[in-house]
Amino acid sequence: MEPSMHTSGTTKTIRSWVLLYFDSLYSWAFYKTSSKESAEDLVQETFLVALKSFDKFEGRADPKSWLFGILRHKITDYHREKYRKQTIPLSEQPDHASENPDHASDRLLSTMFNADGEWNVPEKPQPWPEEAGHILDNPDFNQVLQDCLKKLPRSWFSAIQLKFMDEKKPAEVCQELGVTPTNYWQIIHRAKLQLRKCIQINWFNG
Amino acid sequence: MKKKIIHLILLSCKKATELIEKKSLFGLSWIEKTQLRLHTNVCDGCTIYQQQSILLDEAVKGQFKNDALKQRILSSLDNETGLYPGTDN
Repeated sequence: MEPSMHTSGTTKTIRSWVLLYFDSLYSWAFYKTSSKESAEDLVQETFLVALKSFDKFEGRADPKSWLFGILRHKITDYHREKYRKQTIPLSEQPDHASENPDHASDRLLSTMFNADGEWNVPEKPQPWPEEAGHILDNPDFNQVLQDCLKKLPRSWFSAIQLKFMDEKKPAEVCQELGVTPTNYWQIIHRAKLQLRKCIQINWFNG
Repeated sequence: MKKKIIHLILLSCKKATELIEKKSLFGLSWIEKTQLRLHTNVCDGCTIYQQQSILLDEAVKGQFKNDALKQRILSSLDNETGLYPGTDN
């Protein structure tokens, strides 16, 4: 069926689903593929499939699980394809720090804090300039942030990614990561310490 | 030794920053909240950490969104040319 033949009712429904579920679908695809470009393709394809096979949906209760079902298939295909053509991964694999996360954690904490758990003087957070709030819209800042995120150990990056998935409750994230709640907030703590330091050095030049 | 006792009540900076991150995920108990408040009342470094941590959360959250793509999909639906204009016609 050509897209131009879709009734405006179908388009309207799909449109409302994009508004409601795009963010969740995209962040899930990004988490599963570790690639912005692949996540973009897979989510676009998901909505395209939804549009084309809308008549198969009718009568089903929950659009969100239907969409996630389509996306899950797409992600499985993506990994199968990636496995088959071993050539793709190199360029797509993010270059996360390969250091053992436990070692990274020990090293970070002993750099940041003294034996009493107080800030080591050079590491003590200093105020950022007044206009720091505006950095969120600055593409250069976002590039620095992206580079800093890539430098985190893989498991810390996953924890950060899952923290910001809207529909994931902390308990579900712990299950996904296979860690206890205490492990989880400690990982987030280490990751945030390192991110803050990386931003401080690479953006605020200090 | 004296420091150990002070940290038991007022928390060390390491512990205080841990609680700041724990708070954003699971919330804190009444005792933890009080300890954190007492600590940040007297510690500049952790007060600044707390503000910057919130700003960083905002910034990181933006990294995992893709409003540009969302808008692209919406406008291609509005034009009813399908999700891949140019290839579908």
